[in-house]
Amino acid sequence: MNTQDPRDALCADATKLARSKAAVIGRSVTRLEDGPLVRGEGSFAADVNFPHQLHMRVVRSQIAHGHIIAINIEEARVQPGVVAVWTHADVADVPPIPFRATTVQGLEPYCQPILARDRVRYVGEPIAVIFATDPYQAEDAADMVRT
Amino acid sequence: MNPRDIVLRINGAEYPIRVQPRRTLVDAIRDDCGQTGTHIGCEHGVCGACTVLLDGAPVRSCLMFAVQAEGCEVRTVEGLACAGQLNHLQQSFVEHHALQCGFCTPGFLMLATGLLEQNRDISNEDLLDALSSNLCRCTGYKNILAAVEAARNALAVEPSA
Repeated sequence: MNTQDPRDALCADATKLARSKAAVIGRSVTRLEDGPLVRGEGSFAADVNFPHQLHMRVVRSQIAHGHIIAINIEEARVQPGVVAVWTHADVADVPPIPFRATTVQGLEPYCQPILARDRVRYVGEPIAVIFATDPYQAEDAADMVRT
Repeated sequence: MNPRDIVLRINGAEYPIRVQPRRTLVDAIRDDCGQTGTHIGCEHGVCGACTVLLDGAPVRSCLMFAVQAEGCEVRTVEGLACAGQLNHLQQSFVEHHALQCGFCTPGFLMLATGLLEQNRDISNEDLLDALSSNLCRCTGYKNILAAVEAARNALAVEPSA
């Protein structure tokens, strides 16, 4: 039979909690992640590599607003190291980029597609993507996309 | 273009590597030498995330070719801690909450290291001017400045290294 009064245990827990709160509330707390980050030992997305990975280069709009009449990717597609070149037609089934942090309804028709469809609306809008075995070759091929 | 065989000296260690002449120094440091503490942000010299010291001077390693660094002493964030212990500057960044995500931090640390080594009495005004060449997108700059100022003050009461 347990002889300990459960009220004592609750009381002890409350004291412990108060102590632990006193240790952090109202004062700066040293972050656990800072050590590795100031040593250059953080692991960011670009630090993660896999065998046979491909490198993607985005071809972007150089004008602020315009109709897309044609995208010629034939020359880019045959560059050394290039595995694939995609434009909107290749990713038409991917849902557009949703609006964040809004409860407004009815914005769906105005969402941005992941690659520009028919029209570009800002400098830098993605028009096409190149996948290549080497990032430098992907960049070379990106220069070959004609719009 | 034919690849070139070069030796990069990073934090005192030698890395014999074979690179295309157009390969940037930062790509060579990260991918050929495996020192991923140096980060690539903008790739065109604006953000300073890739800052390393080249013979003591802060440079943007995305704006240099690896072949240009042959024969130079490259220092990166991995070389700052001494025998496993954070140095004054690193410790100061931790204490002043001068980082959040930590992506820009290696660039700021190397820039500040170069500045403090060139002039241990650098004024707050000159620090602000020099540190404004690097970008941070989360914490803001006040704590970074405070951290470097504190490290400078701590170094001032110590004999020269």
